[in-house]
Amino acid sequence: MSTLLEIRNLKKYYSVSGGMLHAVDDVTLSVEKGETLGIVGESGCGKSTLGKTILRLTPPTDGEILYNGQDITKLSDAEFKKLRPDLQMIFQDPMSSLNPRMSVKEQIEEPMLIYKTIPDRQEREKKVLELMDTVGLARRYADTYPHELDGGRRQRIGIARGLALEPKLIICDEPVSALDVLIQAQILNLLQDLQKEKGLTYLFITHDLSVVKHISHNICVMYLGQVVEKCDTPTLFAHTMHPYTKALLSAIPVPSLKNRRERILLKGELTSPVNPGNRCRFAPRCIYAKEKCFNCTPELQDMGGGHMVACHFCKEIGDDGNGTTDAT
Amino acid sequence: MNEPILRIEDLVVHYETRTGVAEAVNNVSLEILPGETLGLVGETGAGKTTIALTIMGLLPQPGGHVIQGKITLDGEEITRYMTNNRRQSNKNDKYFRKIRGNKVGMIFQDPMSALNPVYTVGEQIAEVIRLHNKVSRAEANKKAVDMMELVGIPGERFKNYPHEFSGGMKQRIVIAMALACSPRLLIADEPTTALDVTIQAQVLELMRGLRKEFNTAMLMITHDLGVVADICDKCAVIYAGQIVEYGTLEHVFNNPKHPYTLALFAALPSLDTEVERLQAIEGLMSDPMDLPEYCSFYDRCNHRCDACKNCDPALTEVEPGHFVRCLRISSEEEEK
Repeated sequence: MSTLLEIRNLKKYYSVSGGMLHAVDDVTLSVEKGETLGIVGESGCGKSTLGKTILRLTPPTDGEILYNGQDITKLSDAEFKKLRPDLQMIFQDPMSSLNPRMSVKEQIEEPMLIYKTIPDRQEREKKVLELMDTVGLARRYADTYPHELDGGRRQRIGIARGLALEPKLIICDEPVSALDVLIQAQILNLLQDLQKEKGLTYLFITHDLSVVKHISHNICVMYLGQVVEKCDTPTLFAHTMHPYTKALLSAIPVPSLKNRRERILLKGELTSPVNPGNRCRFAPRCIYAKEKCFNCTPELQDMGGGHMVACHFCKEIGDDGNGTTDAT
Repeated sequence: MNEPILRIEDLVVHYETRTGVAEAVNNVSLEILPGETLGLVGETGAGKTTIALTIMGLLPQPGGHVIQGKITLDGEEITRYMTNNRRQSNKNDKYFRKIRGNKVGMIFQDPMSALNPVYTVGEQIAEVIRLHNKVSRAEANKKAVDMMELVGIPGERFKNYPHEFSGGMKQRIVIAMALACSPRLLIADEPTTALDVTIQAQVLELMRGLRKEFNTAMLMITHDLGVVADICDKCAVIYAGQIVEYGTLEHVFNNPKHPYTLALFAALPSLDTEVERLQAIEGLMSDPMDLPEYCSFYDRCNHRCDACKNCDPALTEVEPGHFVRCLRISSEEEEK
């Protein structure tokens, strides 16, 4: 297995009145070829900004993004354009990411026209229909418009568009959060099938821990622009270390009357990402916070087997973590 | 015997549109006892919100009609104020203005659009109190501050505008407003869907506490089975405008019977168990403009048989208090 994407000390700051907003702050991560890396966090934690920065939809403030060993932040626009077909994105809301005045066929064809991958019109049309088969859209929808379709089918168009240029890496930004459970299951299965078939690599951004657990091989938990916990999926759920991950996990309402988790209620809400200063960003809401947490930013440290945690006291707190208590 | 706060019997609601009639709610019956919370679960377009709007007398006009059925709220039949008689319409509006916010409180999904951006939050809470009670402005303001403290917002923020609060705080204000006149029934339409999980946990905790304090009955509308397991006493699963399964939480979560309920549980990615692949059922919910004569779940059902195509199953009691609308299950019952 080889590393497809590597991000080193990526920073994205926005200048706002009152200082610098640290949207993504010193994020380091890597994605192996053919794997899914899940990025989880609440709104405002910088997960979407991270996705956009990787695709150069917004320039990073500092740091390196290595795609196949090549730093894409240093490429010129023309050079990057050659790479763009490899890196595609699927957005959350298919209604606002599709053009309402283009038919399904035209939407899927558009990337191929822009990149002139298939110059012959008939060949291209054949490819469009093949793509529709791949994502499970009936061919009879080729001439319909997005508003005539439901959310699940619209998301399938978004996926077909993402696949049109035969990418290597797809950044999925909350692709199922706008969908109902049954449709969500259909789309998740489709994404998994495509990965197996085409050896795709996903960066899966979501706020939903149960979705991310289902689809990812590795997980990064983000809080206010920083990665607070990073490891493979089974370890994260078996040995949750960071107090924020624990709270996040315990806050999910479980659709079952058995295995109720003991709930850790967090105080307050996200603090401001503007000038966060040198301290643990989670400290104001953390039940374990001590003085040190307010004076010094914890570094990610390896707790064994590549389980990276950014917390001064996670060893003391221990990994009794997932807090499952049998209530029955 | 406890008299139910809300009783809905055989409710049918249609929307008339230019292209046809949408059968949004079909023969829905349910009951909520004082202090009890009923969860109404279903997909987008299943008719959940239409039921809530009907109870509040807020069906979109023109177009929304109550075709048949009876809604009794706190012993009074409110469906008689829902006639489409023009001469009655002033009287009807007056009646619903009296009960909204007073007998029935409502919490909406999106707190930003439920609050008026040009009034301070304190004024908006006080407005509800002054509208329904004969109190002076000062008294109402004082009560509003108390309500804010109750939902965990410092009283000093009385003079802040909605945009100065975060999403979770705004939802707390909407809850304070809904509870300001101690309503008998609280209708919560996806109250936590727009919030982050940790904030959702806080708001659910708050609602749980307040429910106990005020002994308010609650109708909780949601698409999230986790939220239902968390806060409800009873649960109704709704599909294409019909209740397909109805019972206590133990009935629905530990012993689900209807194929649709089973499909919902199977499609959820779980935190506790490992599954390679989710069990997704194909297809979409039947179009409410074009509902079949037979079981509306037939086309997507894993357990269908030929007999299903010949009749529209009725809600059958499979064990005391547990109702299921499925031919397979009702025929099993008969055999017993």
